[in-house]
Amino acid sequence: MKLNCEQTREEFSALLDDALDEDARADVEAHLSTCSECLRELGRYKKVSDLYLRLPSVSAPADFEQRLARRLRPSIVRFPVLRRLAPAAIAAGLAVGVVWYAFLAPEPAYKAARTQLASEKALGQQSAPKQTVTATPEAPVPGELSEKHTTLQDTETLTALGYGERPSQQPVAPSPPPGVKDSLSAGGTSNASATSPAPAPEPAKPLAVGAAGQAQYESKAQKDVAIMDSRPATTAPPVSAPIPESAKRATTDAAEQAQEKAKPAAQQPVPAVPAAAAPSAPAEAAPPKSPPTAMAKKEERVKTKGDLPDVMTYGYGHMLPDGKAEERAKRSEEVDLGDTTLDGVKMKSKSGRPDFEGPETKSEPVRSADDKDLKTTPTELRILDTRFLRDGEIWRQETYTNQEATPVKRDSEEFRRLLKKYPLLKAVAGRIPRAVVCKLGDHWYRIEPVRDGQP
Amino acid sequence: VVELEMAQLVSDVVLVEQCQNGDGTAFDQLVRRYKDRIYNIVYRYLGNHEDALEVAQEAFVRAYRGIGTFRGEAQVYTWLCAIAVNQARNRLRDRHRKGRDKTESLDALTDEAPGVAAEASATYETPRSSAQRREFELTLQQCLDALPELYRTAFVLRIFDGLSYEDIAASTECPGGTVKSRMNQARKLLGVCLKRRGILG
Repeated sequence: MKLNCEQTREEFSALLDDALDEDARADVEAHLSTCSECLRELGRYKKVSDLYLRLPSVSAPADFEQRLARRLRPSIVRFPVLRRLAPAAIAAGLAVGVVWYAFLAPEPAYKAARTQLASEKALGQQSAPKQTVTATPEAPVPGELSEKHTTLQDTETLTALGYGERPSQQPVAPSPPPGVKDSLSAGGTSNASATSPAPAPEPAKPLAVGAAGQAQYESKAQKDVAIMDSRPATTAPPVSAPIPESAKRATTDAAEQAQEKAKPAAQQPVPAVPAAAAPSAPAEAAPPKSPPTAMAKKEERVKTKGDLPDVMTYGYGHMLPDGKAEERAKRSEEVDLGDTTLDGVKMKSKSGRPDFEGPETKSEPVRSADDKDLKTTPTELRILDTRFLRDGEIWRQETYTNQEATPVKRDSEEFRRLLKKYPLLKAVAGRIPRAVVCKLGDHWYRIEPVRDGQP
Repeated sequence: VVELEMAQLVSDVVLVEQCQNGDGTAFDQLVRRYKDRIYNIVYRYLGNHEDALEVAQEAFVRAYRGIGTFRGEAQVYTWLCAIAVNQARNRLRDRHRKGRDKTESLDALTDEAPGVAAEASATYETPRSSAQRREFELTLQQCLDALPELYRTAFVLRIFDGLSYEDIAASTECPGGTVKSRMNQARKLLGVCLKRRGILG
């Protein structure tokens, strides 16, 4: 078939790309042999593709597979069989935990404590905690329990269950709530007493929760323990002797003053009063690094919770098949692990009252809150699809290899500027209160706390 | 060569079957086999590494999630390609929507004084110095970025990945004749752009 110029040019690309059959090719070549203009035009077409063919092939980044694997993980999501088994596995884990708590955990002492509490109430005693700690052999080791609760305590839930107020009438140590409180004391910060005034005289309210509330609480506690079962428990400091009432009052007063000072600026650290040192000089025993106030911690926690959807979206949350609520719940708890340990347990209940009250004494030297955090804080976090690793007290983006990093304080103008510009920083700042090295744009920054332990 | 291609084809299909049976390592092999090709076409399509990485990753994630629906009528790579191209197009549209796309349209490209790259390539040679080469490559990429989406898809798949018109048609779900026409238009428009930029005489 004889082609004109226009028809011929329509076939140029096919000719160059070897996509013409014999006949069509012959027709095009026949025209080209007689039309120099079309031949020149064909040359231009060829030059275009030849130029682009010279561009180098671009390879995927070296960590492409690792990144992808992180998106496709966890393996539980990768493998359909495991995915199907996941709910059953979680249920089994919970069951084991419940059994452990019911039969192996030092429940008797806990219940004994409650009985004692009830009898005290019946006698019309006021909320001033009685400091008689009976460390029976079966009694739970407070430190151990505290570690567990420290890592998984959900203050809001506890408060909702009427647990937030419970400590005010919960003078005995061996039960889980004092255990949590123990960790507060062990943290070297009289957290509970420092972050809120002495327990208000509302003794009847928690009791009004009644059997249902108690059951709920126990169920929650069991669940916590079950979930935390796999976490390593730290050495438990032994429960020690009672604290004199006067010492308790002194501690509380000092704490009240401290709190009054702290109120105007939530970011100010509260002078911590270690309960362990209470009898002699409660106010002088403040550890070098005070944790943020409960309010600041709470804000941080709220922020962190707000980040969760992002993590789910950008991480592998979206990989979860529908109906995998357990998996999501589990993951959110995992996230909470980091939060709560970073937060410590020094958070107020919604009522503004500490969740755990009443000083405890310990014979073991007071540990700083940071020490405790370092032991319980995870060493790895994934934020907006970016992995962060903990190096002692410093977090760094996984890809950081000692490049020069510009230090930026969290209260600086530069920090606020970066915060607006980079969503990653916003998420990171919400999740990691410590120093963290991350890459924003083309530069590495070392985001530093305003002061030690103070995000 | 044909035997090799057949072996690869069979192997791909086997890998997909293994994936469908829950073998995650089979998918890893597919990723290893095709990540560079997919990344390359996505990079050329989008013009920057940041988007290319995200889109290529998303393409594999979607492939993984949808591997159960792969029935073997198409070649595995063509199927992967189709996913990647779709993701890349979506990204492009997102960029347009969010006003992030700073690429000029071909119509808007004005005649410019020949730059370093143009001088070096006026003789139709690839520039030698690294600066010249960078500018040369940048100019080529800019012209590519200015190409309408459908033409760009065909051109990228053909030139940077060597797909046949049939495979391009399969990946972009259009008739073979349309691919031919798109390739022709792509070359024509790119020729105009490169001429305006002084790269083609």
